[in-house]
Amino acid sequence: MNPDFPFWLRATHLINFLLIGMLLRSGWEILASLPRLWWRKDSAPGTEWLRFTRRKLPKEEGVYTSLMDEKSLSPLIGLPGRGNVGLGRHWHGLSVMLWVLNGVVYVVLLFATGLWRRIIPTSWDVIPEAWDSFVIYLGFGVPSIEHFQPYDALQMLGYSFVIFILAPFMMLTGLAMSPAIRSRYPWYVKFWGGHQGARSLHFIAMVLMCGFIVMHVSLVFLVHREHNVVHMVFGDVDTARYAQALVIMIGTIVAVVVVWIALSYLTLADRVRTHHFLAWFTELGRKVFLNRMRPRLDAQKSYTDADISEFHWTNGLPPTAEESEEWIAARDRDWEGYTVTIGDDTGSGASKTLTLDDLRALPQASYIATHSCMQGWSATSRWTGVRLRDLLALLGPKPEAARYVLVDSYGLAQKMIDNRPREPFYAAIDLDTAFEDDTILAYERNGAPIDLYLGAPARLRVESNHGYKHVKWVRSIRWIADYADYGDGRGGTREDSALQVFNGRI
Amino acid sequence: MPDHVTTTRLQVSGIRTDDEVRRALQALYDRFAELGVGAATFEVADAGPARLYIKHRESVAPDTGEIAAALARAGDFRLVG
Repeated sequence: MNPDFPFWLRATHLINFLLIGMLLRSGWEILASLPRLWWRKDSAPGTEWLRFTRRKLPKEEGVYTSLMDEKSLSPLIGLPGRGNVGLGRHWHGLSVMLWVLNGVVYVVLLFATGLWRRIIPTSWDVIPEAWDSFVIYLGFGVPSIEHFQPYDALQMLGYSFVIFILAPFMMLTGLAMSPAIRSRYPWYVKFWGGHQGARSLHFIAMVLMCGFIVMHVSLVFLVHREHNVVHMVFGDVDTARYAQALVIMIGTIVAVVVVWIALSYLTLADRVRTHHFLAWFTELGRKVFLNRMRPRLDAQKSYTDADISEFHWTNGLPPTAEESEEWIAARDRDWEGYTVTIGDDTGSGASKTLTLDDLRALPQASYIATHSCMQGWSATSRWTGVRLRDLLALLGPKPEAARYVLVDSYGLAQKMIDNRPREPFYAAIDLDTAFEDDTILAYERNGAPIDLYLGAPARLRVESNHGYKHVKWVRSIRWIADYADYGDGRGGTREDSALQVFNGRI
Repeated sequence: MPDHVTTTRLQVSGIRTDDEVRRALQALYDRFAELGVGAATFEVADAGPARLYIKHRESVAPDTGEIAAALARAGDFRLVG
């Protein structure tokens, strides 16, 4: 056995192959949910630098929702495909967690065994040598086997770039799209060009990764393949086993592709069961890392009023007459008669009904925040309102049995998972999130009353979470014991209908 | 006079499953921005046609001919009311 190709090296390489396919396919599912990319501080129609859809977007705010832009991918391409961005995001999360773990094992062992010297250049001679190889390839030639000890200079540069620059870059830009990171360290997101900058850079990195994979796999089979496949399969240098190794390698590649596609169809066969598993698995990562991030937007100086976006998308349109006559009547009377009920569903039955003036009379919180949707769009605004903890304090101390806060809307869900008649939109949040400084019931945006389409007259803001937790057109806010007792029991309308996870921190 | 969002309700035959709902919505959304209308949703009953709700400004009347054509492109889906 050749010590240059130990079992751990071959195993982590194969695991990486499986996981990178899952990452790419779930990433394409997410991209298909909003197939446009921007370099701006908002996602204004007509300003995208790249799009993968022929659909036209009107410039008008408040009629066209971002879910109308979602494209449906084939399960052969996307994981899982068919417009399931929620499940695509969870598959992406699971794949990332395992990919990073596999990468850490690989890098630690690479340095522990000294095999890093074969990959990381230690002499500037690598540059002219890599150029020589590049020129040979340009002429459709193949560098002689002596170039490969066991890798040639061009390979070393390529591998070093992918392992130590491109992969970390993808992780860093991916993290920058987490609202938990953004609300805790806004300077970090601004460093990447804001949410849209991070998203575009993440996409470019994905394209580079795809390019590397195509090139890498092609060259394995085009350049001294009798050596390559034996190295990769048996860790050996005896080319006498080439045919055997080739059959095993092609069989393995086919098996991995079958697994990729099978994951899509298995997911679609029982979306709720898959959601249950993926939500549980990915929550491990959120617990270890993102749950520790507490927003502090009122203390940050990275984002100022100069960063406020011109355009703000929406998901969900204002209630209409068949949804809430009460909301319509209040709207037409300039919110006279509009009420928010705060209450306790855990047993005491205590409740209070508040008007918009009552809300305005409470201590005020105001900050600049970027709103991001799990689809990918974002917009920065100044939000003003009352902290949820101050609002709930009007009922007295937190009830002993209360474990969550449930907020519901005068508006209906956009769609139920089984297409039954729509029910009021709602979201539940845990107590830690409810008590965060930047969890507020907002009644102003950019110093003016909130626009109708963005949740007037009062909407929830949960800055550590994605937008699906930010209930618009708020009707009531209640202490509850368990969100399993409400809706379909997954913690909110988007959790129930689109299979998002309860914890919206990434 | 403010131009508020309102809802138009239509009935569509041939839509039962979530996959049919998805195909119909994809076809509608290929056209909706150009027609000046907003989000749509289906409510599927055990019997009878599915209900299609379309939100739009009060000043815009949804073009039922275009909607019927888009539905027909997506499957054996027909406006029936």
